[in-house]
Amino acid sequence: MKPTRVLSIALAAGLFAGCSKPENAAAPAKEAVHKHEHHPPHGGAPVELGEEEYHVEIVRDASAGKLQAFVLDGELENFVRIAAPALEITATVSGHEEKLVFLSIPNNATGEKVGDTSLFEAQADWLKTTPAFDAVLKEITVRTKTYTNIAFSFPKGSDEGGKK
Amino acid sequence: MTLRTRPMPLLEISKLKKSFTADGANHCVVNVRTFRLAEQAQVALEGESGSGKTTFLHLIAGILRPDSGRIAIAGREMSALEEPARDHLRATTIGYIFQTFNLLQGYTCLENVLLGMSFGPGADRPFAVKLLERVGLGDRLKHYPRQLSTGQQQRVAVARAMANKPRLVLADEPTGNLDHKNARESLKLIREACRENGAALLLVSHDREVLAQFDNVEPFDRINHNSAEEPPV
Amino acid sequence: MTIGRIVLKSLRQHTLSTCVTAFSIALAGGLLMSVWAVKQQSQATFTGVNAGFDAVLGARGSKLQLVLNAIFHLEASPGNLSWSDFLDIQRNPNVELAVPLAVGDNYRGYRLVGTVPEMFEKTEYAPGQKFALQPGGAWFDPTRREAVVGDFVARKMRLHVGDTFHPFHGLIFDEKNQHSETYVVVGVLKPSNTPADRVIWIPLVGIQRMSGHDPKAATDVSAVLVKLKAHSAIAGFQMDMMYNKQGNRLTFAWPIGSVMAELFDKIGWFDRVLALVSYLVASVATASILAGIYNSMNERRREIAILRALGARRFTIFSAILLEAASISALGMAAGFAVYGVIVTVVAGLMRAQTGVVIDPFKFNAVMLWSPTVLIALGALAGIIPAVKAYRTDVAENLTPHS
Repeated sequence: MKPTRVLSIALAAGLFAGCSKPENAAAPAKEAVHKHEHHPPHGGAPVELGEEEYHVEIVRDASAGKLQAFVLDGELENFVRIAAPALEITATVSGHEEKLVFLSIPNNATGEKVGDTSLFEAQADWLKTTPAFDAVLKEITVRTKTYTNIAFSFPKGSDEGGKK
Repeated sequence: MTLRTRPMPLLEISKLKKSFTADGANHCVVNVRTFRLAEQAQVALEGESGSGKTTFLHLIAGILRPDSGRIAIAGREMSALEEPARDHLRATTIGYIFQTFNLLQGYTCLENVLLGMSFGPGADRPFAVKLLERVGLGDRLKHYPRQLSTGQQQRVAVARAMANKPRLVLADEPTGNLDHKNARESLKLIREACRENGAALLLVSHDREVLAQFDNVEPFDRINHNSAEEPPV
Repeated sequence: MTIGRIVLKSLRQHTLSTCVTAFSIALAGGLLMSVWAVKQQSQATFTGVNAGFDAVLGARGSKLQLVLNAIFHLEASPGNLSWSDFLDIQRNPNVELAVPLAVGDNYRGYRLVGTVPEMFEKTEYAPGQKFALQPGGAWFDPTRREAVVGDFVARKMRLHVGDTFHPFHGLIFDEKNQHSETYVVVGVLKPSNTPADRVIWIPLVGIQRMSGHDPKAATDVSAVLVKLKAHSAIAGFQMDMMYNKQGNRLTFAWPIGSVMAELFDKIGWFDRVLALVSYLVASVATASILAGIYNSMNERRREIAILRALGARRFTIFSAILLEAASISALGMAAGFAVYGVIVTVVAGLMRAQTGVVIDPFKFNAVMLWSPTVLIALGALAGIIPAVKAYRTDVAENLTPHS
């Protein structure tokens, strides 16, 4: 009996030691996505549509005086293409309103065309010198849902979005 | 007036007892009140099979520990020693010749003799070769026991017993497995070897022819007062 | 007559069981070392091979397939890209070098890869290592039907500078699909120990305009190898996001090493299974040491009793048995290195032939230290029970029949 018992313990110890050896896989350069935290992929301001049904990420390129608007899904992971040829945002800068028209940007690399794109861009000189402002996105239709008057502040983003 | 002191005996035994338990009863196998063996003496103990002679020799060699009593070899109390010390004393002081030779079959003659010294004084190859030459097996150094006759095997056993330059040689029916001719030659060799090496010899046998060769023969049952079955303690 | 001598005698007396047990230890040890060393080396090598580029751009599909096709010259390409796609990425401000590749033909099973001279002029396939030609060769003229042959192919096909050959259509050799074009070998690459050694390099237009290929696709490419500029730390990440997430037309496999690392993750279970098999073999082998020596204890009782009667201590006998068990394991491990040598040599040869990737079978790996140590220790451990039995041998009882 004794040799069998010793043998069983040795075998179990050996298997556990072997199996519990940690795998040293090279971790790919992915961003850590936590379950309830969503990070805008370009580091821009997330603007929520509805109850986090979709997002618009606003990114500023100060040197070019440009704002980019990316349409993304609820987790801020996948890009969502919409049919609109343009989007309109009204920003409040030093007390007065500035209208920004974001045009749909086609991209050969991504296969996006006007009327089927997730990226919109607007250009204005005042964007070069204004790092923060409040704004309202007039209207946006994503798939079958339309959202209107979505207020947000840049660069913070928004907590809630309007829904029709 | 000069004081004459008696020389200390090589082996001194007093009130030695050893019992074994079998079938629920205690059997006293050895009960020796007193026994002495002088340096270089050659004594034969006469006794039949089952008389306890082997147990007696095992006790002297330190292979067994007595239940009580005293065994002193060359002044050292064998009986009081712990086992490793008894082993060491046996390795350095005692040579043993067994009835069935007890050579190691996987070892050559030379290696068997070297084993006889390895645990005591240490391997001394030239001395081992000399011992084998002395017993007439100088040309069989690399032979294995199975390649030797019984007489030759016994001679190897004798050489092995002398290997650690013992002060006491114990021989347990050394001629028991030999024919008459070999038995005579073997006994002669044992006695001569002991004499040449200055070792005392304590031999046990029931063979009258063997016993007849000794001046000093002691009936074992005269020194061993083992009783019949005693009730368990 | 030392303990060592006693152990040696014992091993020789039980030659058959010693050899059989040692052999199973050899298998266990050899297998364990092979699995470990090959896995580590091949993972390090495969994830390290990137031909000097950071990413591969290709048609929409699996990143792994793209990398295997463009870097390791295995697998079919997931599709073609247009020349304008190549120009677009070449013009990207974050891109230092973009090299187009075109595949679709072979020479007797060895792939023909069409490319541009920048592949050799501007690329370091490993840090500080540029492609070089063996003496007497030259780089191909991109306007002529000239070929530079990888070292492995040149040796296998016995191609030398000046030799001519006809390519065959497809990635798999079929005698019937021979092209009419004739190519001349103008150079043989020095061995780079990368997949580049396993292919034949020809001008890009050679593949694009080979007879029988679709003329409408005459400017298409199979993939683009991309090297990003050093300062553009997040460029790769952004391009990955644009092509792969924002886009749905093309695939940007970046970083190349990670794509291969993910492959190894996916097949990680396989080498765990192999490792488990070797642990099991080791356990069985160790158990057989225990059983073998334990069972021999009965016939050895008398021998032990004799040694004890000659003055050997119990601990000496105990040590001798332990040492015997450890020695069997040690003998097995010595043979295990031979088993290891055979296995890894075969595996390395296969790997080189199939992928061009070279691993060094005899490079030192920590497993070569710890696996013999563990197996010898296990062997000694297996010897404990028989050693205890030997320790407890009753000397008086096991010596001769009593008189």
